Amino acid sequence: MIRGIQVLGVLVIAYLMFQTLLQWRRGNYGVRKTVLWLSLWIVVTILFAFPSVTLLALPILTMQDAMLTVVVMGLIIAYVLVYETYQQATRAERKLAELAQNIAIHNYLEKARGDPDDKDEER
Amino acid sequence: MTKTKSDRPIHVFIPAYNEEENIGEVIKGLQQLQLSLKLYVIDDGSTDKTAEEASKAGATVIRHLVNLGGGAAIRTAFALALLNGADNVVTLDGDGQHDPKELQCIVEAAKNGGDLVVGSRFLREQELEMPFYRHIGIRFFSWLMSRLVAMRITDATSCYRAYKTAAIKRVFPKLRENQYYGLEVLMRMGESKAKIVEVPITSKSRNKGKSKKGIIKYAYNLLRTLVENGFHQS
Repeated sequence: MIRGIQVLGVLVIAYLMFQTLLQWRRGNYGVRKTVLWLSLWIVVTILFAFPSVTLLALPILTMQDAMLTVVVMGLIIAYVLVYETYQQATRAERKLAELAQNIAIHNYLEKARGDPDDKDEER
Repeated sequence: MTKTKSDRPIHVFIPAYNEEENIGEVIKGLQQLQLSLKLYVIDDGSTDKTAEEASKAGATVIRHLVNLGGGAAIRTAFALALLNGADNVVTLDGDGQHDPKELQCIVEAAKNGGDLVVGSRFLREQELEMPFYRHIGIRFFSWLMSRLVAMRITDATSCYRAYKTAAIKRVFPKLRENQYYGLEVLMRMGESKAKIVEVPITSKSRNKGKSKKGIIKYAYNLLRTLVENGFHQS
Protein backbone atom coordinates (compact mmCIF):
# COMPACT_ATOMS: atom_id res chain seq x y z
CA MET A 1 0.00 0.00 0.00
CA ILE A 2 1.28 3.45 -0.89
CA ARG A 3 1.55 5.72 2.15
CA GLY A 4 0.87 9.45 2.10
CA ILE A 5 4.43 10.17 3.19
CA GLN A 6 5.73 8.35 0.09
CA VAL A 7 3.62 10.51 -2.22
CA LEU A 8 4.68 13.65 -0.38
CA GLY A 9 8.34 12.61 -0.47
CA VAL A 10 8.27 11.91 -4.22
CA LEU A 11 6.51 15.23 -4.91
CA VAL A 12 9.04 17.19 -2.87
CA ILE A 13 11.92 15.45 -4.62
CA ALA A 14 10.33 16.07 -8.02
CA TYR A 15 10.28 19.77 -7.11
CA LEU A 16 13.95 19.62 -6.04
CA MET A 17 14.83 17.89 -9.34
CA PHE A 18 13.04 20.65 -11.22
CA GLN A 19 14.97 23.28 -9.22
CA THR A 20 18.26 21.51 -9.95
CA LEU A 21 17.53 21.44 -13.69
CA LEU A 22 16.49 25.08 -13.53
CA GLN A 23 19.81 26.01 -11.92
CA TRP A 24 21.59 24.10 -14.69
CA ARG A 25 19.57 25.88 -17.40
CA ARG A 26 20.42 29.23 -15.82
CA GLY A 27 24.08 28.32 -15.82
CA ASN A 28 24.39 28.39 -12.02
CA TYR A 29 25.31 24.70 -11.87
CA GLY A 30 27.88 22.97 -14.05
CA VAL A 31 27.34 19.47 -15.47
CA ARG A 32 29.16 17.82 -12.56
CA LYS A 33 27.11 19.53 -9.90
CA THR A 34 23.84 18.89 -11.78
CA VAL A 35 24.62 15.18 -12.20
CA LEU A 36 25.60 14.93 -8.52
CA TRP A 37 22.38 16.48 -7.26
CA LEU A 38 20.17 14.61 -9.73
CA SER A 39 21.79 11.32 -8.71
CA LEU A 40 21.07 12.12 -5.08
CA TRP A 41 17.45 12.98 -5.84
CA ILE A 42 17.00 9.81 -7.92
CA VAL A 43 18.35 7.65 -5.09
CA VAL A 44 16.04 9.35 -2.58
CA THR A 45 13.08 8.97 -4.97
CA ILE A 46 13.76 5.24 -5.26
CA LEU A 47 13.98 4.97 -1.49
CA PHE A 48 10.68 6.79 -1.04
CA ALA A 49 8.84 5.05 -3.86
CA PHE A 50 10.15 1.58 -3.09
CA PRO A 51 11.06 1.48 0.60
CA SER A 52 11.32 -2.29 0.36
CA VAL A 53 14.67 -1.75 -1.37
CA THR A 54 16.02 -0.95 2.06
CA LEU A 55 15.04 -4.45 3.23
CA LEU A 56 18.39 -5.52 1.86
CA ALA A 57 20.12 -3.13 4.25
CA LEU A 58 17.88 -3.77 7.27
CA PRO A 59 19.99 -6.55 8.79
CA ILE A 60 23.14 -4.47 8.44
CA LEU A 61 21.53 -1.35 9.90
CA THR A 62 19.65 -3.48 12.47
CA MET A 63 16.41 -1.67 11.68
CA GLN A 64 13.03 -3.33 11.56
CA ASP A 65 10.92 -1.05 9.44
CA ALA A 66 11.69 -0.10 5.83
CA MET A 67 9.99 3.32 6.00
CA LEU A 68 11.74 4.16 9.26
CA THR A 69 15.05 3.26 7.60
CA VAL A 70 14.29 5.70 4.77
CA VAL A 71 13.48 8.46 7.26
CA VAL A 72 16.62 7.81 9.34
CA MET A 73 18.79 7.71 6.23
CA GLY A 74 17.16 10.92 5.05
CA LEU A 75 18.06 12.55 8.35
CA ILE A 76 21.66 11.38 8.05
CA ILE A 77 21.86 12.80 4.52
CA ALA A 78 20.31 16.04 5.79
CA TYR A 79 23.00 16.30 8.49
CA VAL A 80 25.71 15.80 5.87
CA LEU A 81 24.16 18.47 3.64
CA VAL A 82 23.79 20.93 6.53
CA TYR A 83 27.44 20.43 7.46
CA GLU A 84 28.51 20.81 3.83
CA THR A 85 26.48 24.02 3.60
CA TYR A 86 28.09 25.31 6.81
CA GLN A 87 31.54 24.64 5.38
CA GLN A 88 30.68 26.39 2.13
CA ALA A 89 29.26 29.38 4.03
CA THR A 90 32.47 29.56 6.11
CA ARG A 91 34.60 29.46 2.97
CA ALA A 92 32.44 32.11 1.29
CA GLU A 93 32.65 34.31 4.40
CA ARG A 94 36.45 33.97 4.41
CA LYS A 95 36.64 34.87 0.72
CA LEU A 96 34.35 37.85 1.25
CA ALA A 97 36.53 39.04 4.13
CA GLU A 98 39.68 38.68 2.02
CA LEU A 99 38.05 40.55 -0.84
CA ALA A 100 36.88 43.42 1.37
CA GLN A 101 40.33 43.61 3.01
CA ASN A 102 42.11 43.63 -0.34
CA ILE A 103 39.82 46.38 -1.65
CA ALA A 104 40.46 48.43 1.53
CA ILE A 105 44.24 48.05 1.16
CA HIS A 106 44.09 48.74 -2.57
CA ASN A 107 42.10 51.95 -1.99
CA TYR A 108 44.59 53.01 0.71
CA LEU A 109 47.55 52.42 -1.61
CA GLU A 110 45.86 54.27 -4.46
CA LYS A 111 45.20 57.22 -2.16
CA ALA A 112 48.74 57.11 -0.77
CA ARG A 113 50.12 57.16 -4.33
CA GLY A 114 48.27 60.40 -4.96
CA ASP A 115 49.27 61.88 -1.60
CA PRO A 116 53.01 61.33 -0.98
CA ASP A 117 52.71 62.62 2.62
CA ASP A 118 50.58 59.63 3.37
CA LYS A 119 53.25 57.21 2.25
CA ASP A 120 55.51 55.65 4.78
CA GLU A 121 59.21 56.26 5.05
CA GLU A 122 61.77 54.00 3.41
CA ARG A 123 61.39 50.30 4.00
CA MET B 1 69.03 59.86 4.95
CA THR B 2 68.01 56.53 6.46
CA LYS B 3 66.17 56.80 9.73
CA THR B 4 67.38 54.70 12.66
CA LYS B 5 65.02 52.22 14.25
CA SER B 6 64.34 54.45 17.24
CA ASP B 7 63.41 57.37 14.94
CA ARG B 8 60.85 55.39 13.04
CA PRO B 9 57.23 56.06 13.87
CA ILE B 10 55.10 53.64 15.80
CA HIS B 11 52.18 52.49 13.71
CA VAL B 12 48.99 52.73 15.74
CA PHE B 13 45.92 50.94 14.42
CA ILE B 14 42.45 51.59 15.78
CA PRO B 15 39.76 49.20 14.56
CA ALA B 16 36.41 50.96 14.78
CA TYR B 17 32.81 50.19 13.97
CA ASN B 18 30.20 52.92 14.44
CA GLU B 19 32.33 54.94 16.85
CA GLU B 20 31.64 58.44 15.52
CA GLU B 21 31.13 59.71 19.06
CA ASN B 22 34.44 58.41 20.40
CA ILE B 23 36.98 58.08 17.61
CA GLY B 24 37.90 61.78 17.41
CA GLU B 25 38.75 61.95 21.12
CA VAL B 26 40.84 58.78 20.92
CA ILE B 27 42.87 60.21 18.03
CA LYS B 28 43.29 63.59 19.71
CA GLY B 29 44.47 61.83 22.88
CA LEU B 30 47.13 59.99 20.87
CA GLN B 31 48.22 63.15 19.05
CA GLN B 32 48.96 64.83 22.36
CA LEU B 33 51.67 62.28 23.15
CA GLN B 34 55.28 63.28 22.58
CA LEU B 35 55.86 60.30 20.34
CA SER B 36 56.33 59.78 16.64
CA LEU B 37 53.12 58.00 15.69
CA LYS B 38 51.37 57.09 12.47
CA LEU B 39 47.69 56.79 13.21
CA TYR B 40 45.42 54.53 11.20
CA VAL B 41 41.76 53.86 11.75
CA ILE B 42 40.42 50.65 10.26
CA ASP B 43 36.79 51.58 9.72
CA ASP B 44 35.05 48.23 9.67
CA GLY B 45 32.11 49.11 7.46
CA SER B 46 30.61 51.71 9.80
CA THR B 47 27.21 53.07 8.88
CA ASP B 48 27.77 56.32 10.78
CA LYS B 49 30.40 59.04 10.36
CA THR B 50 33.31 57.16 11.96
CA ALA B 51 35.49 57.46 8.84
CA GLU B 52 34.81 61.18 8.44
CA GLU B 53 35.46 61.91 12.13
CA ALA B 54 38.69 59.92 12.09
CA SER B 55 39.88 61.61 8.94
CA LYS B 56 38.96 65.04 10.32
CA ALA B 57 40.96 64.28 13.48
CA GLY B 58 44.01 63.51 11.36
CA ALA B 59 44.18 59.73 11.09
CA THR B 60 44.62 57.75 7.90
CA VAL B 61 41.41 55.85 7.32
CA ILE B 62 41.30 52.40 5.74
CA ARG B 63 37.75 51.42 5.06
CA HIS B 64 36.16 47.96 4.81
CA LEU B 65 33.17 48.17 2.50
CA VAL B 66 31.18 45.85 4.78
CA ASN B 67 31.34 45.06 8.46
CA LEU B 68 33.62 42.05 8.84
CA GLY B 69 34.49 42.10 12.52
CA GLY B 70 37.36 43.18 14.72
CA GLY B 71 39.52 40.19 13.76
CA ALA B 72 39.31 41.03 10.07
CA ALA B 73 40.12 44.67 10.89
CA ILE B 74 43.20 43.54 12.80
CA ARG B 75 44.31 41.36 9.89
CA THR B 76 43.98 44.39 7.60
CA ALA B 77 46.04 46.35 10.14
CA PHE B 78 48.72 43.66 10.23
CA ALA B 79 48.80 43.49 6.43
CA LEU B 80 49.35 47.26 6.28
CA ALA B 81 52.02 47.15 8.98
CA LEU B 82 53.91 44.51 7.00
CA LEU B 83 53.39 46.44 3.77
CA ASN B 84 54.64 49.70 5.30
CA GLY B 85 57.66 48.08 6.90
CA ALA B 86 56.67 49.08 10.45
CA ASP B 87 58.83 47.92 13.37
CA ASN B 88 56.38 48.34 16.20
CA VAL B 89 52.62 48.19 15.96
CA VAL B 90 50.10 49.20 18.59
CA THR B 91 46.41 48.40 18.53
CA LEU B 92 43.75 49.93 20.74
CA ASP B 93 39.99 50.20 20.75
CA GLY B 94 38.17 53.11 19.17
CA ASP B 95 35.59 53.41 21.94
CA GLY B 96 37.78 55.31 24.40
CA GLN B 97 38.25 52.39 26.82
CA HIS B 98 42.01 52.63 26.46
CA ASP B 99 43.96 55.57 27.83
CA PRO B 100 46.26 56.94 25.09
CA LYS B 101 48.73 58.09 27.78
CA GLU B 102 49.49 54.46 28.58
CA LEU B 103 50.71 53.80 25.06
CA GLN B 104 54.23 54.80 26.00
CA CYS B 105 54.68 52.09 28.65
CA ILE B 106 53.22 49.46 26.31
CA VAL B 107 55.68 50.49 23.59
CA GLU B 108 58.54 50.58 26.11
CA ALA B 109 57.81 46.97 27.07
CA ALA B 110 57.89 46.02 23.39
CA LYS B 111 61.19 47.83 22.91
CA ASN B 112 62.55 45.99 25.96
CA GLY B 113 62.05 42.64 24.28
CA GLY B 114 58.36 41.78 24.28
CA ASP B 115 57.15 40.37 20.96
CA LEU B 116 53.59 40.92 22.12
CA VAL B 117 52.77 43.28 24.96
CA VAL B 118 49.26 43.05 26.37
CA GLY B 119 47.79 45.83 28.47
CA SER B 120 46.17 44.10 31.44
CA ARG B 121 43.40 45.62 33.53
CA PHE B 122 44.00 43.10 36.30
CA LEU B 123 47.64 43.71 37.16
CA ARG B 124 47.01 46.77 39.26
CA GLU B 125 44.74 47.32 42.25
CA GLN B 126 41.91 49.42 40.86
CA GLU B 127 38.17 49.79 40.65
CA LEU B 128 37.21 47.81 37.56
CA GLU B 129 34.74 49.64 35.34
CA MET B 130 32.99 46.52 34.09
CA PRO B 131 30.08 44.36 35.21
CA PHE B 132 30.95 41.57 37.65
CA TYR B 133 29.97 38.76 35.25
CA ARG B 134 32.26 40.21 32.60
CA HIS B 135 35.11 40.38 35.08
CA ILE B 136 34.60 36.72 36.05
CA GLY B 137 34.32 35.69 32.38
CA ILE B 138 37.54 37.46 31.37
CA ARG B 139 39.40 35.97 34.34
CA PHE B 140 38.12 32.49 33.41
CA PHE B 141 39.15 32.79 29.76
CA SER B 142 42.50 34.24 30.78
CA TRP B 143 43.06 31.27 33.08
CA LEU B 144 42.20 28.89 30.23
CA MET B 145 44.49 30.81 27.90
CA SER B 146 47.34 30.62 30.42
CA ARG B 147 47.01 26.82 30.36
CA LEU B 148 47.09 26.78 26.56
CA VAL B 149 50.07 29.06 26.02
CA ALA B 150 51.87 27.84 29.14
CA MET B 151 52.48 31.32 30.55
CA ARG B 152 50.56 33.53 32.93
CA ILE B 153 48.00 35.71 31.15
CA THR B 154 45.72 37.87 33.29
CA ASP B 155 43.78 39.70 30.58
CA ALA B 156 43.42 37.58 27.46
CA THR B 157 40.71 39.73 25.91
CA SER B 158 42.45 43.10 26.16
CA CYS B 159 43.06 44.62 22.75
CA TYR B 160 45.44 47.35 23.95
CA ARG B 161 48.53 45.69 22.63
CA ALA B 162 51.91 46.30 21.09
CA TYR B 163 53.43 43.92 18.58
CA LYS B 164 56.82 43.48 17.03
CA THR B 165 56.31 43.20 13.28
CA ALA B 166 58.63 40.20 13.15
CA ALA B 167 56.23 38.37 15.49
CA ILE B 168 53.23 39.46 13.39
CA LYS B 169 54.94 38.07 10.30
CA ARG B 170 55.18 34.63 11.91
CA VAL B 171 51.52 34.38 12.90
CA PHE B 172 49.78 36.44 10.20
CA PRO B 173 49.15 33.62 7.70
CA LYS B 174 47.53 31.52 10.43
CA LEU B 175 44.95 34.08 11.58
CA ARG B 176 41.38 33.20 10.62
CA GLU B 177 39.05 34.64 13.21
CA ASN B 178 36.88 37.47 11.92
CA GLN B 179 35.46 38.64 15.19
CA TYR B 180 37.02 37.46 18.46
CA TYR B 181 40.64 37.76 17.52
CA GLY B 182 42.20 38.52 20.91
CA LEU B 183 42.39 34.91 22.00
CA GLU B 184 43.40 33.62 18.58
CA VAL B 185 46.32 36.05 18.28
CA LEU B 186 47.52 35.10 21.77
CA MET B 187 47.34 31.41 20.94
CA ARG B 188 49.19 31.77 17.66
CA MET B 189 51.82 33.94 19.37
CA GLY B 190 52.21 31.35 22.12
CA GLU B 191 52.52 28.63 19.50
CA SER B 192 55.26 30.57 17.68
CA LYS B 193 57.18 30.91 20.99
CA ALA B 194 56.82 34.69 20.94
CA LYS B 195 57.70 36.49 24.15
CA ILE B 196 54.40 37.67 25.62
CA VAL B 197 54.55 40.36 28.28
CA GLU B 198 51.76 42.04 30.22
CA VAL B 199 51.81 45.60 31.53
CA PRO B 200 49.20 47.19 33.79
CA ILE B 201 46.66 49.53 32.23
CA THR B 202 43.73 51.47 33.61
CA SER B 203 40.28 49.95 33.40
CA LYS B 204 37.83 52.40 31.85
CA SER B 205 34.37 52.05 30.42
CA ARG B 206 33.66 53.28 26.89
CA ASN B 207 33.32 57.06 26.52
CA LYS B 208 29.95 57.22 24.78
CA GLY B 209 27.52 54.84 23.15
CA LYS B 210 26.78 51.19 23.83
CA SER B 211 28.90 48.07 23.48
CA LYS B 212 27.94 45.93 20.47
CA LYS B 213 28.74 42.67 22.27
CA GLY B 214 25.92 40.85 24.07
CA ILE B 215 27.20 38.86 27.04
CA ILE B 216 25.92 35.42 25.98
CA LYS B 217 27.08 35.80 22.40
CA TYR B 218 30.42 37.14 23.64
CA ALA B 219 30.98 34.23 26.04
CA TYR B 220 29.89 31.66 23.46
CA ASN B 221 32.20 33.09 20.81
CA LEU B 222 35.17 33.29 23.18
CA LEU B 223 34.64 29.63 24.03
CA ARG B 224 34.24 28.70 20.37
CA THR B 225 37.42 30.57 19.48
CA LEU B 226 39.31 28.77 22.23
CA VAL B 227 38.02 25.34 21.21
CA GLU B 228 38.55 25.85 17.46
CA ASN B 229 42.00 27.34 17.86
CA GLY B 230 43.00 24.97 20.64
CA PHE B 231 42.08 22.09 18.35
CA HIS B 232 44.02 23.68 15.50
CA GLN B 233 46.97 24.13 17.82
CA SER B 234 46.87 20.50 18.99
